[in-house]
Amino acid sequence: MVMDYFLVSLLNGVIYGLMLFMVSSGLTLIFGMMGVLNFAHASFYMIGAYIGYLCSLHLGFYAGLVIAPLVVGALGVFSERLLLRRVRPQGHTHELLLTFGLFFIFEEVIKVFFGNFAVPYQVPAGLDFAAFSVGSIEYPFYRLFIGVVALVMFVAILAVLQLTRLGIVVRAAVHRSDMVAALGHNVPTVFTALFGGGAALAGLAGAVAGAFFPTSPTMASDLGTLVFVVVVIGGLGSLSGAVVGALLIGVVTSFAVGLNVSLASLAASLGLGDTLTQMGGLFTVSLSSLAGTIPYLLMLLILLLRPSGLLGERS
Amino acid sequence: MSRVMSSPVARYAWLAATLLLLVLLPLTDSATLINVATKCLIAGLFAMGFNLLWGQMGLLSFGHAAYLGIGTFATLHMMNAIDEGWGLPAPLLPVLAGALGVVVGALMGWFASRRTGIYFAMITLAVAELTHVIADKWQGFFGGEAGVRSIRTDWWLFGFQDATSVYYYCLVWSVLLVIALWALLRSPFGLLMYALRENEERVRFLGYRTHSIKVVGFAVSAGVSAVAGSLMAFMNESANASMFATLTSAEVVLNTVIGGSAVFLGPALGAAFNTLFGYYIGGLSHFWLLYQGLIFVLVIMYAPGGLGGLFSGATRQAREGRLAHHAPAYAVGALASLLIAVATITVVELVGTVMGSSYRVLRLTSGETWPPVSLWGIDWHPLGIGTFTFVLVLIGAGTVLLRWAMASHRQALDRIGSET
Amino acid sequence: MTSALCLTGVQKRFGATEVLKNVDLDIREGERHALLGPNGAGKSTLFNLISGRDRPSAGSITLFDQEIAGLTPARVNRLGLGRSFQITNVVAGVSVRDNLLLGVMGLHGRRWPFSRRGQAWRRIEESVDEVLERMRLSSERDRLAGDLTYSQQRSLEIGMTLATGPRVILLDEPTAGMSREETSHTIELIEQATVGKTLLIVEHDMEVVFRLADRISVLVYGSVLSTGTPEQIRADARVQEAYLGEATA
Repeated sequence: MVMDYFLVSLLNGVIYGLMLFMVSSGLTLIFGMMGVLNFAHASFYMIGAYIGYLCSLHLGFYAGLVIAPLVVGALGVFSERLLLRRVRPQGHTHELLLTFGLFFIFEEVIKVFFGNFAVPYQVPAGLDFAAFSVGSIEYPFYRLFIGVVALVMFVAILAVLQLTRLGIVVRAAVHRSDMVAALGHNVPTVFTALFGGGAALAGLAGAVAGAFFPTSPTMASDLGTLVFVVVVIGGLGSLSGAVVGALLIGVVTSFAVGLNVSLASLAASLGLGDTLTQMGGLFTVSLSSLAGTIPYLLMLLILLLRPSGLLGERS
Repeated sequence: MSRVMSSPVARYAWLAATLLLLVLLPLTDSATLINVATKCLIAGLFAMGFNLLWGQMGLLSFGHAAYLGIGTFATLHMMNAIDEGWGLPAPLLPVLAGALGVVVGALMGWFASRRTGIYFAMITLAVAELTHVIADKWQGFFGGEAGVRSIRTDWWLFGFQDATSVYYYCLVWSVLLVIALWALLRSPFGLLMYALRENEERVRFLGYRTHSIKVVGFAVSAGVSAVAGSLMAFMNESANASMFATLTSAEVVLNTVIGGSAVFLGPALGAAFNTLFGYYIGGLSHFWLLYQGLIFVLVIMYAPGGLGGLFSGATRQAREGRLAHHAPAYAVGALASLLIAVATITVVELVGTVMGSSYRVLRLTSGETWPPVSLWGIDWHPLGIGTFTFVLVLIGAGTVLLRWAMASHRQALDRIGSET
Repeated sequence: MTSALCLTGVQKRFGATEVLKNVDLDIREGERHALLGPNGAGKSTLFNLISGRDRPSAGSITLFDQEIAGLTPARVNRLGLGRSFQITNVVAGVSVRDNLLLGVMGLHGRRWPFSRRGQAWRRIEESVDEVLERMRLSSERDRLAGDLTYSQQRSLEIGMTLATGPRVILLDEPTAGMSREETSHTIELIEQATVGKTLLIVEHDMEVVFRLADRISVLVYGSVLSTGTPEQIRADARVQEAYLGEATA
């Protein structure tokens, strides 16, 4: 029983982590190269989910998996070229604030079109079955599907970064964008491409995950801070850090949700008596409801002790 | 923030006029207006506290909701204590809440100020999220979904049972704190804070422990925010944990940017603008948040100094007698903006209505046609040629006029440049 | 003669690169000491170690017999050591007067200055005026530091360093990028301002160095090649070979 629970939690955590990585990868690369923490990045994830939903209504689910990243990627290119680039001369803070404003606008525009509540974006019937069962728990195949898409994407990103000229320029630019510009590469165009590519990845993640998790206007803000946590823990600008951070956060949140004990009952079971129970307050709150604090605690620790992150190189 | 200030006489005239307006406002005897004005004061004070960090020290906090909320809940519990017979004078509640804010702010500031730039912002964000989760779960203190309720108690000669007395209570506290902030910024310590924003390293080599200066700045900023939270508790007599949400932290950033962080009263102006906007436009349209977001992005792109920056720029031009050069460009620019705004609002309202559930019902009952939508007192056909023509003409004309206005503005600037 | 600043066995590595190998340097109280050396010899690194910006990998640095290696810049400054920067490093967005005020306030123990009143404040104002006068910036006092000409900013840079009232002054290429006239003017300023104080100066202009310095140390490849009076240095064959030969060629 415990073993079943452990296995399922682990698998859920890893797959959730992989999905987090799909959104985080673009964010961390964009930060590494442009120095901008894109607040609107999780919005691309949300928009991807809605476009996937639209496609599933009219063209079918699989068409959405192609169209959503394309449309969202185009939106990313548009945002970078027409908006971000204009405020770049005024510094990173202005770019940050602009993405902050875009985050608001995207959410509100989605509300204009789709209303304030979740839309019924469903897992297609062909993928809606149990992959296997662990004990009494049937494990949905679609979760595995999310994981596989994320893995394929991860391999694809690595291949692009390692094997193509664009990838080499991007990797170099993450380290020294001034040098890359001096070597005659068109850095602004690479910025645009990277921004669009990152947005497209987030859009794909949205189209895939939105069918399983609720697709609602708040999904950007729900995921947004968690994605920040992932990239900070992994190290801003580090792709491999984003992998580690995403898996860590995925697994930790997945496990913590199941823990139904409080600090007080823990102390009692350790023979410390009822002191904490009597003190009440925070000590009697169950750990599962405090699970939400873990990512932020981790993030704080990293920021204070090792701001370059687990795998980042720069501080 | 440029430390070269505008002429004092003009500035004091404006200030006096504003203050007089605020003092006389309750004469309107409109409870709604007085309530909205109280909200403006509180949001304004919050933004002023926030901007001490950002405008003066260049530290962008994404977690100021925490300090506002601490002030609110501390005050609610103190109000309950008064109700149970503690002899705490009500007018002093903000002092105690503010002191708590200063202490918590100093602690958090000590951590956050160890880092700069985006890392500072991320620490404040993490702290705020932590506070939010804890506030959500700790029902004993924050009251869960129902929140904490309390009631205002009269004190000595002062009764606090009507909107006007609460308004004056908030006005007095806001004015006092704004004066204190002004004195702080004008003091040599304000100079230190500003110098640190521009060139922290140099200040360090002049013998200052810059980290301590930042901690003090953070503590004062959190303290002022907590006082704003305290006033909020006094006004609403209740609160729940949702005020710790990221949205609250985001709003103060929005207010400050729209108002202009480089002008002393800019953040208060922005907060008042957005509060009034939310109240009046929010009553007219479901999509007012979208309009607010659009205004924010437009300000970032075209008026980085915010409303305060525009205002102080225009008064400076007027003083130097240059306003006449720019007036045509400004007038045409305003007209162009109006045209584009009308077109945008038309599109948003029509789309929003057509996509809404009540319209779907309307379509079903009308046999899958596209019934007209009423806006600006006109019936619009969602797919009609007239609708599209209207929107396109407005946007086209607006764009042409806007380009002309911008070119003319640039020419005027060049002309002045070549004259001097 | 007592030693004002004394470095023994100072080393600094950045990763695998060893910038300073083994620096021994003794600056006597009241002398003007120049540091010479080709580019990349480690002069700026040495300044950063002394002024507290970086921590040495090994070795000891004492200021009037007190260990200062690894202390914060603020602490080192309060112990009586002020430095200027090679790249102009003023607070561009405030007035010239306010820049100097920042330095002087610290000197008068007003590190938490919330008011502009009282005896102490009047003395601060007087000190600021004095530095303005001395750096010939009185007419520019209300201009933004960022609007000054390059050489005026260099003067302000030195003025800020002096304003904190240090007993030991480190100047990093104070005349870099100046015309001949401006250079000689600046050197005059430095000579006047450092009377009775200890000066350690990095300078490329040989003429300046030999005119200003009581003693000279030559830093080559991360260690001190030679220390002596200008005459001794001029005569030193190793210095000729390592540095002067190259410079005069």
